[in-house]
Amino acid sequence: MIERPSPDDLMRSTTQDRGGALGATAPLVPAVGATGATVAPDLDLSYQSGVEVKARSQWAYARMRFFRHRLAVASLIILIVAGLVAIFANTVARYGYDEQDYTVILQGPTLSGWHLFGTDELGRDYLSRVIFGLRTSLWVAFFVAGVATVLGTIVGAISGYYGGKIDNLLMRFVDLLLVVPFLVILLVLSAYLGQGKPFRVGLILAFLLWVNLARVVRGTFLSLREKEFVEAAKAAGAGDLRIMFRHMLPSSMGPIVVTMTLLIAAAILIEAALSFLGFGVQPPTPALGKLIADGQVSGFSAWWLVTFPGVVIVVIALAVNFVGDGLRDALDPQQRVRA
Amino acid sequence: MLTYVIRRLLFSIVVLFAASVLVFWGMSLVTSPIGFLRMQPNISEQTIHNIEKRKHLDRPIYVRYGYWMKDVVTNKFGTETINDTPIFPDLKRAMGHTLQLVVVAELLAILLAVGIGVYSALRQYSVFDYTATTASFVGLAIPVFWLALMLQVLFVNIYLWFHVRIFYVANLSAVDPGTGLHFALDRAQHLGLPILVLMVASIAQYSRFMRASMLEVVNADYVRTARAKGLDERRVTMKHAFRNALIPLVTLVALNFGALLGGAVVTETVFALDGMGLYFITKLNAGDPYPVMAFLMVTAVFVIIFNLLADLAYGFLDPRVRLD
Repeated sequence: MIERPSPDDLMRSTTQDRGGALGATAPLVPAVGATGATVAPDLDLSYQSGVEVKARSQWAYARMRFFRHRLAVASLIILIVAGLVAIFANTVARYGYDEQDYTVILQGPTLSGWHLFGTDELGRDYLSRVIFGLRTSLWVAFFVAGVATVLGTIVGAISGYYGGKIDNLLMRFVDLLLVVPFLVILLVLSAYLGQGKPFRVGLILAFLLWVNLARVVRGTFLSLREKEFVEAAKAAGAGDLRIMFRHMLPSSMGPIVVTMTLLIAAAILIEAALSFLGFGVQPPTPALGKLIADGQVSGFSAWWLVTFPGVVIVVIALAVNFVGDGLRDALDPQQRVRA
Repeated sequence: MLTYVIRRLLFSIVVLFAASVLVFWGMSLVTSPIGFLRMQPNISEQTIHNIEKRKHLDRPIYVRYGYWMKDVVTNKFGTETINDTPIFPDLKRAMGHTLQLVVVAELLAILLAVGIGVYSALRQYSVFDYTATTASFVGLAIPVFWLALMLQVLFVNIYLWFHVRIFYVANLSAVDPGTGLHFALDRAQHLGLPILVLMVASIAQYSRFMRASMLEVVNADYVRTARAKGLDERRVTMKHAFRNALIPLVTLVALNFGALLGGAVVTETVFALDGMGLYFITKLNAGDPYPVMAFLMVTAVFVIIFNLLADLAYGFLDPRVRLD
């Protein structure tokens, strides 16, 4: 029989390795405290074995578990490198994304002039274009994840905490959004409102993607609401906002962080698809999806135009997913069983 | 059971109504037929005026909604704004093509994914399991349009080098399909790549899901009981575990199927396959709201129908779910 994670299990470490499908192993650690509190210093835990027991916070255990997930750590490194390349694109890229050189039109990947990814039909260095495209795509993805997480957390928290009418209204709205496929709504919205600046594209994406997060937060809040520590806080006279954001929110950090990572991956893929279809980021700003769409024209002979931006998208999306997987193992171990 | 079906049906109609309001109101929020008309070159003020009268564009929004609804119900979604061309014939043709594509792709995907998922679950942590898991991770990380393009590049180059045509890479109806066996071959050559592309994402998703639900069932008490009774492993997995593990997949597949019937937007666009998705993109680019709204309504109908089917099937397959 599978144990459904009860809310205070969500933050507790598990003593069983249930499903490390990619070589992850959850370490055998004792459960410390349900709410992620450190063991109080005056509490002597070492009396049983005589060895000194170091008190570790819940986050320290989570960190330990994460760093045992080799694939997740490797992915995190890839992401950090990609992030640095994107941030310092101006220095890393040898050429500007719109710099043309008519002597090297549609050249395959070559070492001369360091056109490692070749050049496009206007003689622009493709590696530089991919780097700047990566910058746009990552920017949009993190912007979307940030906005959607904040929005989703607030709405989900309110809905889960108060329940009743507000909750009902929100959930019906979500149901209605699901009647038309996600990509379709997105396309309609961006066709008429978006188109152009990464900021607008990101805003539209965030406007639709917060729904997932709101559902997750609502779920955890619904069950946390009945917990004793919430009751205690209420009895101590804490206000609703304080209970929600000081007491309940830290306990739901696990699911939130995991959902947020998945959001980033989703945002990257969706933005790429939008830009590819011509409803996302518009030229001259390069975006990975747009690069592929443009490369399509001469892509049958110039294979590098289609291949490289796509490989970059796949690597980034994979890395984000693996990091998410590692975070799930680390923060929300019981979830693993169902994944 | 019957009362449940009827009540569920009535509820679906309410949802459909709400969806229609949302579609119409949402579209009026972001665009307007008049604005679209004004953006057309070579159109006289008189023509705009005539169209305005004919389509009742000068009336308030709820009246316009009423006229639109009347068109949708009695006149098969009515006509486009400018030339008054009926919307439905194009939509119907596109629907047929999408149906061919999606039904074949999903059926194949379900068969394969169920096999992969069950086998992974039974041999948890085996080499096969790890490979399948990694593959599905990759499958979900590959953008659909990129996979489609790479396949195009591959098969175009195969054609250029060896002069063998295995698959067509675009345009469903560019050549005369012929009849009988020729027709079957032509369809296979045209739909082969789009089907493959659709299958990849579906298999990745379904096989993960199937693996999880099979694992859950295999560890259940009643399966242990079945073993304890002395049933052989085959019977335990096939009769007791497998059938129950399939139930959750039904919902996922039904929901996905409903959404896909509304057009595999990206796949159809890349392969220039004249289906619902391409219809949608074309009309969206053209800017006329009426065909776009027609498409949205058709999609909503598909999703709602398959939601309904999923619910009913769930109650039918799982006796623990009480329908009343």
